[in-house]
Amino acid sequence: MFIQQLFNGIMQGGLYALLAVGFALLFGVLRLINFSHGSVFMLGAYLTYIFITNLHFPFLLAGLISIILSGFVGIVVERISVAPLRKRKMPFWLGMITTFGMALIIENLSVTIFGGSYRSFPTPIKMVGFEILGAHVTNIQLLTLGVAMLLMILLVLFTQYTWLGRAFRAVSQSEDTSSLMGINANLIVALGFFISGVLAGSAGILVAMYQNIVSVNMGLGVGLKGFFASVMGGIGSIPGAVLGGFLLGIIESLTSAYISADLKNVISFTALILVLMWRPMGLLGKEQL
Amino acid sequence: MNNPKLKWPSVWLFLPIVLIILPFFFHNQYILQIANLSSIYIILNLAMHLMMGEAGLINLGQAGFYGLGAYAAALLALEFNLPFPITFLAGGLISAFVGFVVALFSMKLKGLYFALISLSVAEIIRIITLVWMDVTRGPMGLPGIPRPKLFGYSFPSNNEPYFILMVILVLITYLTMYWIQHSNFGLALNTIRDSEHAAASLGINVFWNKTIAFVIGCFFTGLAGSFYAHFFTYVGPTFGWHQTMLVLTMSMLGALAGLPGAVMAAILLTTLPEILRPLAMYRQVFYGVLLIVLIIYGQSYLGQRLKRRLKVDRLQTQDLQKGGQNNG
Repeated sequence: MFIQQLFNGIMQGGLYALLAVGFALLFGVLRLINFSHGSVFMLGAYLTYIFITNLHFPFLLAGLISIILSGFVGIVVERISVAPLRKRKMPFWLGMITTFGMALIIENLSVTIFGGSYRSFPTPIKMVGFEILGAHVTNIQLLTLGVAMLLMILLVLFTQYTWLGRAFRAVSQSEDTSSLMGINANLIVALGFFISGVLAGSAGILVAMYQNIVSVNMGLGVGLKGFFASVMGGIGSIPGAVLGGFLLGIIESLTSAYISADLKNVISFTALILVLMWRPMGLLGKEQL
Repeated sequence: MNNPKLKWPSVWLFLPIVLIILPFFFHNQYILQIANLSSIYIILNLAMHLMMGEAGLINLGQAGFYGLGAYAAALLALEFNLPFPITFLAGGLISAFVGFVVALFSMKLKGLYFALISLSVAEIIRIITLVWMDVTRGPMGLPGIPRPKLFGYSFPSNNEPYFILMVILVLITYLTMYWIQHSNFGLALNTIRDSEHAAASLGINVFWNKTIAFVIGCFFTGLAGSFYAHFFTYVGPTFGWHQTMLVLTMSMLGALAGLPGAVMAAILLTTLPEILRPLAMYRQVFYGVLLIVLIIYGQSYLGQRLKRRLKVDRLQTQDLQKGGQNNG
């Protein structure tokens, strides 16, 4: 029972972590909280659904195209709602409101275009269940967790060991100085939005595969959850976001098993408040805002 | 009170008053209903202006306290049959009390972290209203909240009497905020907003001043909530963070022109969705576009024009923009 719940928590936590990393990435560079993250997440899943059922693309191709499209939606969000703020040197926390506006636009356009009903997601793999350490696990769950982990490892490798990743970290330390060193900060910011869009889109597809369902509303609560996970782990820190995501997932699944499923969000928010009071910079965060 | 800045409210006070009185001349229930809703948002926005504009507290959880006031008034009226003035005030007081408790453990945190705690608290309140079936009836909400009854006069279902009550309430809120803005307390808040270290070195008690500002803000937010409950005679778990974002936008817009600005921004952003009604399905999309345009262009371009035109306090817009960042 406990191991089963723990595994469910890790499973859910992997998805939260994937979302939290997207928040951490943008917060690290821009001090921006991107409230349109949940909408891009939804769009990734929904576009895959459309490509498969309406255009009869094979699953991998459909997934790939929608992930890349999600990345471009990220860039569009940046161009419309963040670039003007940057140009005018306005405080970035205003970006919360403008990206929230983008979320309203994306979600309501999707409702008018796709309709608001729930649809079953055509998962290409047949579900097979087996037992590990007494916990019931399906192959889709393992695949989802594996892909989430792989994406996060790739992201860390990218930011730590590539030329572009170095430029990325330089901009996040000081935009002005890195501009003087010949880094095109605008390009880096756009890249950040592209990557976070890609991450959100992939998370959307994974969740749709896992839950076997897509709807226009699927991004509403999830975006906020990812954000909270990244805050818990230390906003702006990528390892912190991963840790926060897993913690949040495990806390949620254990509370719903042992206390009450209704109260899982109350308990996880309380945990967040306690963490912030104990370490205001989050578990692995370094700086005090 | 011996403050040279305190003078009788300027001419610009009368523009919002005219806007508030105007709906009386249309004997149209629809317009009056919108006017009542606007008035609720005016109070919410004035409270937000105190917290964010004056004290620099980014409150992402206002909707939680709004809902708390509404539910408190509704439950007191439904379960205990308490009379209107008591439930009405209790909505504000309970909200203020919870705000006080929250402030005690979160006010030491800086800028964005305070924002996150307030957001978590609001989400907790919303979820409790959603899952505590025995008391709040969860998603079904609480219908049949009694209409107000004052001095033996019970309010009918049309909007005029509500509106009179609302105008009085808005005026009380406005004058309170005006007084705070021009009192030593307000000056202390502004100092804290600009730099907490400087404020502390001048002997201002940062913690208590911020706490008091937050509690007053929560009180008026709760009042708006209890009015909401008695006006719509129904509350449901709809007080999510979308609500807060809306008031936050009003507040950012209103920051252009001080308190009258706060009033006008609230009226503008509550009436616009009604005007946009013919767009039907695309209304929310258009509203999103509007948020972005208003924040980006309203803040920079219109802000400069208006400031020059209205000659409002030179620092106001800049300071509000700094609000989130300069807290340390």
